[in-house]
Amino acid sequence: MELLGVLVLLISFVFLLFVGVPIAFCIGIATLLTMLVSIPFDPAVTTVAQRMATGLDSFTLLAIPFFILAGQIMNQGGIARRLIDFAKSIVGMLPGGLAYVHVVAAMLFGSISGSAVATASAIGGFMGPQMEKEGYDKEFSTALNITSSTTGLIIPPSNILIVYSLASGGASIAALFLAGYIPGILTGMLLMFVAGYMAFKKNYPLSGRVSFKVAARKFLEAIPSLFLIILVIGGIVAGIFTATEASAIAVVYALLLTLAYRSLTLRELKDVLLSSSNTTAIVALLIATSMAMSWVMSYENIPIFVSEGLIALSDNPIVILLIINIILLAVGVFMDMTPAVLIFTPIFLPLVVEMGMDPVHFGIIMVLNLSVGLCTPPVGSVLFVGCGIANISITKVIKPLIPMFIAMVVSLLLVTYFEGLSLFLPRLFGY
Amino acid sequence: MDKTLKIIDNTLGWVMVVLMAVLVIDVVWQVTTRYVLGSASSYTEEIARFLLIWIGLLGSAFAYRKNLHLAFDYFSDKVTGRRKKWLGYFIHSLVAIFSFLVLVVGGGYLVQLTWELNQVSAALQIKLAYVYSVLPLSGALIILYAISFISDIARDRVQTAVPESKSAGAA
Repeated sequence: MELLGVLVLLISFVFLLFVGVPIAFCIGIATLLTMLVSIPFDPAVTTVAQRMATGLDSFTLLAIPFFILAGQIMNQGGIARRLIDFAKSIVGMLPGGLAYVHVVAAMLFGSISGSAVATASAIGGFMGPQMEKEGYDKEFSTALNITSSTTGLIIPPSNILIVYSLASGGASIAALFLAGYIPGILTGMLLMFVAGYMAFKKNYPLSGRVSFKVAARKFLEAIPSLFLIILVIGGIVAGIFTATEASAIAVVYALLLTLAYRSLTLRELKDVLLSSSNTTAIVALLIATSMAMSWVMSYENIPIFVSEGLIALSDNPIVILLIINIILLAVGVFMDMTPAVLIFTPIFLPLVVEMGMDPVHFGIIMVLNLSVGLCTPPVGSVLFVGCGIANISITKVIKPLIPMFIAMVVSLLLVTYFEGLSLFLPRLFGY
Repeated sequence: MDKTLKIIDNTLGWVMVVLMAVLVIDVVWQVTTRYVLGSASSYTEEIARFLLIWIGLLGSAFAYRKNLHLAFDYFSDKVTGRRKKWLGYFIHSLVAIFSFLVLVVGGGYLVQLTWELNQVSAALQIKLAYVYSVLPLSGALIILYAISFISDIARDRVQTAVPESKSAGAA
C-alpha cells in the first residue's frame, strides 16, 4: 500500500469537505489527487473520467431515477394526506396517538417515495401543525419526524439498497428488499415505543376515536397508493420482473393514478420530470465520483489494509462487527449515504463475508447504520429538512432526538447480532 | 452574457425533461416487448444505460447551476464578508478545475481514444465516443456556470457565495 496515496486521499477529502466544496466534487478531487500521486497525468485524468462514466453504466441503477420519479408523481396526488388518514384509523385511538400516526405514516410514505428527505417534508409538513394543535411540543414532533422518516429507506422499495447491490457486486435486490422489512418495521416500533413513553410522561392527549365506518373508508382510500408497493415488491419477489422494470411500472402506475385523481397537469408533469432529473443527477454524480474513489482505494490496496488492521485488533466476529458499526456511524456523521455505501462496502464486505456473514445481512446493517447519520449534524440532510419544515433551530431538537437515536442504535445492534431479523424473510421466499 | 446564460439554462432544462421522458418511454417499451411480444428488445436496455450517463452528467451541470449539490456548510456558513467572497471564489474555482481536468481533458482523451479505436456498443453498434462525449460537454457547462458564479460573487449578486447543505440525494 502506498501510504502517501492514502494520506493524500484522506487529507484532501476532509479539507475540501470542511471548506464547503460540494461533496460529489470533494470525492472527485480527492480521487484525482490520489491518482496523480501514483500515475502520470494523462492516464490519471482519463481513468477518473472513465470510472465515472462506467460507474453509471448499469441497468440496475436505472431503477433509481424511476423510483424517484414515481415518488415525486405520487407526491403531487395528495398521497401524504391519504396515508396519514389511513394511519390514523389504525393507531390514532391510542394515548399519544398522533405520535404513532406520524411514525406509521412515515413508514408507509417512506416506502413508497423511497426518500427520507421527501418523507420528512411531506409527512412532517402535514403532521407537525396537527400535533402542535393538539398540544405536542414542536421539538418533540420535529425529532420524531426526522428519525421516523429514515425508516422508509430500508422498507422496500429502497434506492439505497439498489446502490448497495451494485457496490456489493451483485447481492440480490429481491433478497435485500425482503430483508429490509423486519428491520425497518422494528426501528419504527422502537421509535413508537420511545415516543409513547415520552407522550405518556408529558401527558400528551388522546386523539379522538375513529368510527369503524370512517376507518374502513380511509382504508379504501389508501388502497390505490398502497397497491404500488404490492405491485413492485410482489413483482420483484415473484421473479416476474427485475427491479428496474418494476420501477418503470411504478412510474406508469403512479401516472395512471394521478390521471384518475386528476391531480397532475401537463405543466406539473414537466416540473416533476425536471426535478426528478435533478435528484437523479445529484445521486448520479455522487455515484460516479464514488465509483472512481472506490477504484483508487482498491488500487492502493486500502481494503486489504483495513481488514488486516481489524483482524489484528480482534479475531472475535462480535467485536469486529461492533468496530465496523462504530466506524460507519462516524462515517455517516460526515458523509452522505450514497457515497458511504459505495466507498465502504468494498472495504468491509470481503472481511465480513470471510467471517461467514451473508452480504444481504451486511447491506441491511450498513443502511440502518448510515440512517443515523442522516439525522445528526453537520451533514444530516433529513435533520435540516425536518427542522426547516418545522421552522425550528437544530439545537432545540437535539434533546428529544437523543432517546430516539438510542432507539435507532438499539435496533441497529439487534439487527447486527440477530441475523434472523433480516434473513428470515428472504430465506422464507427461497433466496 | 446574462441573456446567453438564460438561453443555455432553459435549453438544458428542456433537454433534461426530454431525456427523462425518453428514458421512461424506453424502459416501459422494454417491459412491454418482453411481456407482450415475448422477447425483450436488446436495443432498449442499451439506450437506457446510455441515457442514464447523459442524464447523470448533464443533470449534474444543471444541478450545479441551481446550487443543488449537497455541501457541508457548517464552517463556510460562519465565514462572513470579504472572506466569504474569497471562499466562494475558491470553491467554484476548484469545481471548475476538476471539471476541466477530469471531464474536459480526461473525458476528451476518452472520446478520442474510443473514436480512434472505433469502439462500438454491443447492440446498437453506435460509437462509444458519442456516449462519452457527454463528459467534455457537461465539463464545459460546469466551467461556464462556475465562471458565472464567480462573476456574480464579484458583483455581489448572489445571496450566498458558498454552496449550502440542502439536498435530496438517494436518501
